Amino acid sequence: MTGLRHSWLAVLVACTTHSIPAVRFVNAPPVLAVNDRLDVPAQPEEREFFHDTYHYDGVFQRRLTRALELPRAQRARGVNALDEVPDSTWFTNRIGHRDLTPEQVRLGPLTTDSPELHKPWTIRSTKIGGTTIGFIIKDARGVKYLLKFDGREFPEVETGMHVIVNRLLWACGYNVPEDEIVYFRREDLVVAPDAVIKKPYGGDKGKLTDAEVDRELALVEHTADGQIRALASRWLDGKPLGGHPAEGVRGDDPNDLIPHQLRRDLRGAYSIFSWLDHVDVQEGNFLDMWTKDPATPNRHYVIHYMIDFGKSLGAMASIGFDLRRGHTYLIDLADMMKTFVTAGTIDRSWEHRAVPALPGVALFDAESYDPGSWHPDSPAYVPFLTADHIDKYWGATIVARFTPDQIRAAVDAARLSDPRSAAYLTKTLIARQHATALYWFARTNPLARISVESNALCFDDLPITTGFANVADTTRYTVTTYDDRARRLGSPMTFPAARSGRTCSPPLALSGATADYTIVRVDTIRSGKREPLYVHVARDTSATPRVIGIWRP
Amino acid sequence: MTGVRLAAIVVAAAGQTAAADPSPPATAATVADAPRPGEESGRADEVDPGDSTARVAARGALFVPKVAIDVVLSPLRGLLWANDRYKLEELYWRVFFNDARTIGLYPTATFQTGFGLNAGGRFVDRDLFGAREHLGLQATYGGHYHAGASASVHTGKRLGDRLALQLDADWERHPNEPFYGIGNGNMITLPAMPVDPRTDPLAVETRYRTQIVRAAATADLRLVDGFLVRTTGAVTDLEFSRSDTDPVDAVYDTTGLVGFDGVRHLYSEVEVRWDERRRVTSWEPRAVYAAGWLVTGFAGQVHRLDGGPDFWRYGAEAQQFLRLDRGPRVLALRFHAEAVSGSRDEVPFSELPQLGGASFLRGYNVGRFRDRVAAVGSLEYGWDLSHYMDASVFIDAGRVYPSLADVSLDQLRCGFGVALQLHSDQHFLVEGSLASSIDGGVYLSVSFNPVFDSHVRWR
Repeated sequence: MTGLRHSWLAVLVACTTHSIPAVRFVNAPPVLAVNDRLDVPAQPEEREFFHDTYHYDGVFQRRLTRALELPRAQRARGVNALDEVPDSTWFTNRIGHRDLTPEQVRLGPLTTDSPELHKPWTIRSTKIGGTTIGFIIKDARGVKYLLKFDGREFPEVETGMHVIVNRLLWACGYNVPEDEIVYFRREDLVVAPDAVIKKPYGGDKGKLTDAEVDRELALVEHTADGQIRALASRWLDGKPLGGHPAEGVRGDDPNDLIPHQLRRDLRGAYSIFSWLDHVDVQEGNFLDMWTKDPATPNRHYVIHYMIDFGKSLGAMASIGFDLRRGHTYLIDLADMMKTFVTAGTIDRSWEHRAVPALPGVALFDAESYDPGSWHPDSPAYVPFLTADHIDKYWGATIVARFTPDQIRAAVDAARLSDPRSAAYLTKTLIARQHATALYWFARTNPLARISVESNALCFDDLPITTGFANVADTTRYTVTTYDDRARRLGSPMTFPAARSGRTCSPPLALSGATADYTIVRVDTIRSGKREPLYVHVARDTSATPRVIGIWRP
Repeated sequence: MTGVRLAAIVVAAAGQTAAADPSPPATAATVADAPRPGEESGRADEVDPGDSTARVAARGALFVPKVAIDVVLSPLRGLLWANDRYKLEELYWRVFFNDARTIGLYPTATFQTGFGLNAGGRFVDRDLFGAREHLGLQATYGGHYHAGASASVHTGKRLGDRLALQLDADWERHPNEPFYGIGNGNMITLPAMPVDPRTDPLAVETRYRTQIVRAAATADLRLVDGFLVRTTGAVTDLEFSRSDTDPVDAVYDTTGLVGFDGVRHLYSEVEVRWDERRRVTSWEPRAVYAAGWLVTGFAGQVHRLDGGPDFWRYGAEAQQFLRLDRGPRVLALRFHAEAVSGSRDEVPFSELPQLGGASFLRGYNVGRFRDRVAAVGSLEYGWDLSHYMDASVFIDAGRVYPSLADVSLDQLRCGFGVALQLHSDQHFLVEGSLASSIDGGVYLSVSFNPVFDSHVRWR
């Protein structure tokens, strides 16, 4: 009988032990920055972007062979013990980590005055690559810019969307160029004597004349008073290396150590891009620059940028006259097969999209937006294929940090002519922000700013603290503590959510000083669901308990 | 002075002034003591346990199929890569066209099952005198009795938006044109001796050679948008002979094939066309009709220059596109009828209205049926698979008749199938269809012209 009782006890202990993940953390503060700025004395090779091959691989061949490699679902890397992304050459924690005023969001990455204040501008050449009109200029200070324009059918759309997303991505933490809206007149432009027309694929086509500039500018939108609106993108410092590969690392960059498909900052960008409907995700819209260190100019390393956002916020759908953009891939074999087999009898999410006809507003809506099924144009960008719900939650927490004033400030940077357009875009961005956040908050335990205060575990419950959901009255938490061998330390404690959203548990039963490691399982219970989270606690040098790690199952 | 100050304030408010960066950029020095990428996790346990043995074994087993896929697809991928790397498309335009891409001399090549490779060259000038006047010259060769040459001139916008003239001259040789007899007869095996196709409706697949020499002039007058009057005049010389394979004279008595010894005629035709087929919203591709009607009627006289009797050809077509839902999902209806006035003893066999092939009465061979009267109706349901691809299912029903008095719904031939259409936002590109019929057979066809668009009638 005693033996039988011991057997049951062993089974019970085994079950209990098994329910606690084996993850353990070092008793140390979280890493806030990584050192990926070791000197790269030789310029890494420039990656040429092969557009057709890239998308063919992404849609078909590589997709097929990747499946045959049986890739294992892997947690993101490039995260610290608190499941956050440290600062690096890829990402810099900004919103939520620093106080960004709306004005700072409006200015975003800008570090110099607008070229609008430094006319005339000297045209050096037409822009390189692409088929749209553009010029490379230097302003009166000698600062180099790329000028791009809106198509006549879509005034203010591409330039406006570009700048709004530029500001928001900068605030999120990504590196972006210094882009801004400028207005000028034809007489503000001087054609350099040696200015040339660039061929679409490189090389010079001939001398650029005033007549050619006139001819090209005649094709772009002019304001009623004869001004021309453009996007001025300041030339990035350093040598361009092309975009980063969607898989693996850049072999000739010794600082590029984490395979890109495993980087949290790239995988988690999914929810940020879905918020912004930034569908044009491809290698050509990323740019690595081999750059001098600001403090030690003889030291070089690679900085990773995101560029070209003009097809965001619904612009791709409007310009391509394609309602599907953002809802399916451009070539979506699964969706096509489903639609073929069902003979078009099923209603599709994109079919009812509609927006008001306002200048500078593209097909950007909140009504048809589903954060879980958003699609970029192509499945070629592997980090979005490997991203899991925790990566997307991480992105959603950044999205949720923007205040309405900050969003409005980013929209103001677009300098849209119609106030109704700015109001619509702000309203829609806020609605999509709420949708994005709540969708991913519901798929994990959305507790943040977790700390131990007076032996109690305190945390923000994001749906409540953001004010996006009114669930304080229906939320409960259960806290159970375990030692480092997963043995329970005390009875589970259940307590309600504070109305403010920041809640503290009753005092925890912590491990003793000799075995200083406590795992706190926090279950958030609402809407009939129970989502767990494991908080690892140890004492610092002054014997004060602190959070040393977080693990989301 | 006040005006100058005010202007300065306005400019300053519009242009962005320098930002005070809320935090200085990181440098190598500020992160010198930080861990390297990959060492930031703070984990005491193993971060990545690696692949299980079973996964490694399974991956090894799939290595060969993976390599096989890469090898099989390497030509396609290699072509795309070469185009990306060496800008082949750009090279094509640079080599074969002028900078404005209006004048070009370029090679052409087509491959047709049963006919082999047909290669040649084409010269175009799409802006002869500055009003999009078009000149085209083409020559192709595909082996014994398989060649062609053509020239065409189109006035473009020279005569305005409403009037356009076109001149065509063609010389073509085809080695294997199909002939299945005359009438609505069933396919049978080879008869014991040649039969008279005018009186015996038996149908056997046979082939003949043809040489066509033609000069034609066409005038298009667009009276109002969607309403077009087209007049055509053409002089045609046709020669026929037995083919090397399945020769027509092994089954049919060619003395009963009117015109087999040669036809020369002058054809003049007037066509009136009301075309308001269109897309419904700008979100749907221009290349896909989602609503509207097409109604067209034509009549033309064939004046024989070889001493044979003159006769008339006339016909009509109606199409209606009904948009059922967004996408668009479209129901398309078409009725086409065509007839000649002469008797079977008077009208050359090559001038008789025909059914079968990728346009009229799909699910049957090209030219499977021919007689003095042909009528066919189509019902097609199309739906979008993507912005650039549509699918459709269709049923075609029709038959040929010896005369208008014989027209009835008896013994209708019925074909059916499924099609996939590729198009850009503006233009139709290609349609592939898989069709069959109540009489059996499976036909896979590829068409570079929209199935429901009109066809040149002079043969």
